[in-house]
Amino acid sequence: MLHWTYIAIAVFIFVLVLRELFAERNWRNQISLALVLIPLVLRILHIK
Amino acid sequence: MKRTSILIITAISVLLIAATTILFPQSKPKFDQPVLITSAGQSADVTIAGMIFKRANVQAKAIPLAKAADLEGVKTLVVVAGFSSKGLGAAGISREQELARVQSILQEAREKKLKIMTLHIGGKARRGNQSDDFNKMAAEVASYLLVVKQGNEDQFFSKIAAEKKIPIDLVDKIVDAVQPVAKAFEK
Amino acid sequence: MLIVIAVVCTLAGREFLKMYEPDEIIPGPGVTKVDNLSSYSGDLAGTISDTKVYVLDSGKPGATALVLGGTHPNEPAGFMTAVVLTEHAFVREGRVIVIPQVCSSGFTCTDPLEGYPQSYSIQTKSKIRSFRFGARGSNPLTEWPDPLVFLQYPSGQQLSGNEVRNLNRSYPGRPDGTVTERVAYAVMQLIERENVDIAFDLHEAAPEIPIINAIVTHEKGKDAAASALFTLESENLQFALEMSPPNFHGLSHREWGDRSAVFPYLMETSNPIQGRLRGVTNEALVVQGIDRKYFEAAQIGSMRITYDLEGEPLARRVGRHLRGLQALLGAYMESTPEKRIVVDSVPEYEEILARGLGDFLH
Repeated sequence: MLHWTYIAIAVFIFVLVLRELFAERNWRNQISLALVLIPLVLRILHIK
Repeated sequence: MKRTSILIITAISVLLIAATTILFPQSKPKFDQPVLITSAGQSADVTIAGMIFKRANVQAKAIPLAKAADLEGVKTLVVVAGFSSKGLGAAGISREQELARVQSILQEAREKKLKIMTLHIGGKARRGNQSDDFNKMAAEVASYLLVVKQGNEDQFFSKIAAEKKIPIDLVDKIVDAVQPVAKAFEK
Repeated sequence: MLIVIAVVCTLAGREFLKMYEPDEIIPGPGVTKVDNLSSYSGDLAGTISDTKVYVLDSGKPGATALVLGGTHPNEPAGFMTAVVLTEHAFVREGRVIVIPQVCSSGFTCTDPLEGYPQSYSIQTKSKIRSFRFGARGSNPLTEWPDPLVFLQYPSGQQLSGNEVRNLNRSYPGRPDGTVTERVAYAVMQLIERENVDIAFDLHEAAPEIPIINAIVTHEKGKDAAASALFTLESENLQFALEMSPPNFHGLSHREWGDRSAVFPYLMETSNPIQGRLRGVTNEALVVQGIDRKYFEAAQIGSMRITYDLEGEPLARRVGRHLRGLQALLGAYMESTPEKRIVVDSVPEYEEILARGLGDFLH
């Protein structure tokens, strides 16, 4: 149960960061946000 | 002429004394049973020492956490020096408590005028900052030191032996310690 | 940017998923049965925590030995020793049960921030074989998140939260616990049901750790361990003897010995890639174990073991484990002559150094 709670939290953070990514104009900051998103995706998909 | 003679005689005497010390090194004491083996640092080398004594056909009782009271009726105290954090954990005591215990039993042994044999058979693994307090404590009061060479590469035990005039045997391997132990207890 | 993220996720994901491909272990002529650990605890079946169990049965009565490799998948000598036994050994009396990758899920990932390679290769007579280099504990994907504090069952001992995924803190385990506890429980069940007499848990540690090139024994096995040490020393193989602390729970050498009739032994060799002094962390360091910083540390007397520019090659570490194992089996037989166990075709220490590890793999 706790495991899926944390996956849900990861999905929530993923959505928040994705929204920031779309709102961000500066490409350097976009890369920073992308670097946060990539491991979140891999964790949500149970790859790493 | 008289002065020259005195000088020659003195020189010859000094040479003879030096020769005697080289030809007849510090004689090794003989040890008696009953024997108590204990640890200084709680390494499992106490178990190995027990095996050495068994192979040397010398009866010995091993009490790794021996206290002064355990010396009752004992004629020889054998101290196996070397620290082990796992051993300390197994014994459920702190390093400070172990230092105090070793100090106390060595003091009691000296007061009772027991002969103390210190063994260091754990090699490099039982040297270093944590072990050397125990090694020094046990070595300095020994009547005889028996050390596996790997633990003496920096002459730690040899220096103590020279300073305190303690007979020392250095052996290549643990199994080579059997013969000196047997010899030490020969009647 | 989304496309970039998708591409990176795909490429990285593929690399990570490669670690789920099982290592090839080719049972040798000595293997009489291949089973799964889930046979001893059904919950593991179909999961990445299930693992192969190889039985080498002589068919003659005698003792039963259990050899565990891969309790910590980042300690390759333990795993490779078990592989050599599985692929090369032949049991003449008694029985040997080998689990090369007991913490199977740990082989599907590496530890973060260590920069470990994902695999290493060994040249055999016929080909290059690649084996995964794993993490210290179970894959966090199987039991995430780690608690802040791990409460060891049943002792209640408190350990760092990430130890919840350490199999060697999880014994005796429980059938309804965490994934790692269920693996531990399965191993205990195997020990009970198969009436294991003597068991080995093969490990490695950083060269600067005090418990290195050592045999850790439960108090009931100390005399046999001391006798084995004599034998090993006469062959110029120095091992330190360490006693299992009775108040440190969860470890194989404690719980196996306390909760069953088995004589447990844990053996450690020196593994530079686990060390904090190491320089470049790559496949060569796993296999050759050569690191300049450890050599410098040895030169200034900061090491408890001998370390030269020949390094600590995997072949030497496997050789130590194999020889240690044989010496302990011999000592065990001396103390319990009615329980014989004779394992042949185990390479000698000098042999494995001279010919290389690959010569004893298919």
